[in-house]
Amino acid sequence: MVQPALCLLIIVLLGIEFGIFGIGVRRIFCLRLSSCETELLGFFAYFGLFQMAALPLILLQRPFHELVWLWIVIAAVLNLSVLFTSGKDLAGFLRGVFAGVWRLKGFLLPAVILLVLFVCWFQATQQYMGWDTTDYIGTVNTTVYTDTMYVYEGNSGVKASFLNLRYALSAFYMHSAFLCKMAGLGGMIIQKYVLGTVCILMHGLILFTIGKRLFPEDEKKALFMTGLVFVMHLGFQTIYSTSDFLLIRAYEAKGFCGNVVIPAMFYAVLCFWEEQKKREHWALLFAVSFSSVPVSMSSLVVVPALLVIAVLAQWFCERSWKILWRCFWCAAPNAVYLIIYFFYTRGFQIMIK
Amino acid sequence: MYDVESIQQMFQNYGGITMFLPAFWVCVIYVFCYGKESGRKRMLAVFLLSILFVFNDLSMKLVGKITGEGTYYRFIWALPILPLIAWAGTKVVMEREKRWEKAVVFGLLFCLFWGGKSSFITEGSIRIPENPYNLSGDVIQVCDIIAEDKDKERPVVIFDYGCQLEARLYDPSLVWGISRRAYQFHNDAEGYEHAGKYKTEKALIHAANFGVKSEPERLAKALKKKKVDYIVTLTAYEMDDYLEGAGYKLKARSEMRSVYVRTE
Repeated sequence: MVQPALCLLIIVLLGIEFGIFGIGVRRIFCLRLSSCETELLGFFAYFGLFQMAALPLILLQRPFHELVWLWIVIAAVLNLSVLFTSGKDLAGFLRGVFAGVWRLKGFLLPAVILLVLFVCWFQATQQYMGWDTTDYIGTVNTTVYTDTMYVYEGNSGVKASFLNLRYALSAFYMHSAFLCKMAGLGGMIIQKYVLGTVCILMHGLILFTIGKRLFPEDEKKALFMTGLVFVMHLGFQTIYSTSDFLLIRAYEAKGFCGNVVIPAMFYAVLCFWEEQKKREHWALLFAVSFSSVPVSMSSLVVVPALLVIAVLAQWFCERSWKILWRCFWCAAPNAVYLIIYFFYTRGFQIMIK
Repeated sequence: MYDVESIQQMFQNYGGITMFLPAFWVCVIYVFCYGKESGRKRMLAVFLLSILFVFNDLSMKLVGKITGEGTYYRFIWALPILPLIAWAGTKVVMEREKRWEKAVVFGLLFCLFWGGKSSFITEGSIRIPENPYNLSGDVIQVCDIIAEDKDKERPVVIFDYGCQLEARLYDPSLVWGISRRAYQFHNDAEGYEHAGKYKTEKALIHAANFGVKSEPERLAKALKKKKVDYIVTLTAYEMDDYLEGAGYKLKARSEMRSVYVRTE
């Protein structure tokens, strides 16, 4: 019973962290966002910041415990500063959440919540086991066990001869290792139950936020749309579909790419198409782009492609050069990763010391 | 998605036997025909740019060279297939005035997407894990046997395929004696360019996976080369005498598997 309780606690704490990070970013850049958007922004700010802390240490092949301590310090400073300086914002955020829940009271809300919880439970019971599972969860376990980052091959435990930048450019699994270290739980438990559930809940949140944008007059329609997508997920079984990555492999970074990062990008694009000058919309576009690789290497090309196509389409309609300039800055982080990754595929290697 | 040569084939494989892709295209046409004028222009631009930059065979080949052609299908993830269908579905259901009408339309939608063989909820699709690790109890027993016996911090172990996949998810101190690529490519001497590399590991795979007892010299050589500390194989193969000849004695048995330890 201790392990499930710990998992539940970590899920709740991560939700709170995303909220706090979202409020922090909102305050620093004076953004006006709804509670759902703040949580969404917080998710990307959290993983983006974690990447900024982790990537230099990974490339320098520093021990894993240094990252653990660094992230504890960064997160503590950020949490305390938000709690002390943005108490009102925090209260407003919570009020927004509870008011939203109250507005949606009725038969539909518990039905959709039950459906989402069923999907979380379904994902947790799945016993899919493939080579990718050994790669990813093996990486988390190996990191904690050896106190190194990508120095040993995640799947086999054999010492690598060079840093595998296919995985090492994204710190997503190092974050899971951080959670393992803090909670004293194994990689399988953290990935399967905690990250898998977080993926599904974030997916639900994004769908609801998209629904609110598409049906601004009636939040119940947004809730119904969220439920409908989950119903359809349960019926879309091909091994390539995002539904498969949600229901069977939600704990993998790829699951987050298909079900959180890309839908969030789609939401940011929808907002941008509606009002291209609003700072909030550009902030969302940038946050999602910036943190797309930190969450999943699969986003490396897909996210900038989506961004560029969406912005070019807008440019054809509005002919504003400013949006192309801003788009350039949004796509820049992924371009940097892409260049490094390209050189890696052409033989540029960082040898293990 | 491997063995795909064109974008059209990629879409076909992605959608499988489901109705989702046709439904998505119907919704796209609906939005295009009944949407706002500005939205229509933008949609056309998105459609053309997507074909120009992403969904064409040349892009698939060029981008695939960097990111891998097998993963090119992930560009389809950028199409909001389910949200768009759900948006249209919500409009159809929620715009009914009477509750029974809503229920009937919802039921029809439900049947449309759940009527085929593509549902995740099938007999046997929900199996409660036997332990919190979501791993086979037998593999956990094997790991515990090695953990109790080992005198090395990180022993090299060769496992049968099923055990190899799960063992390090429970005990990361174990090191694989057979690599992932060897398991994938060892048997395809003609089809895969790297197959020759895995001749050594092939003997290990034969012994641990299929209980092959006809190549003692190759096995002994491979075990020595890989510095294997433990061998894990299915008890049903009755490998005790054969592996003792190779210098490995039986340590203990789990429910299904036997664990052998190096004697010298």
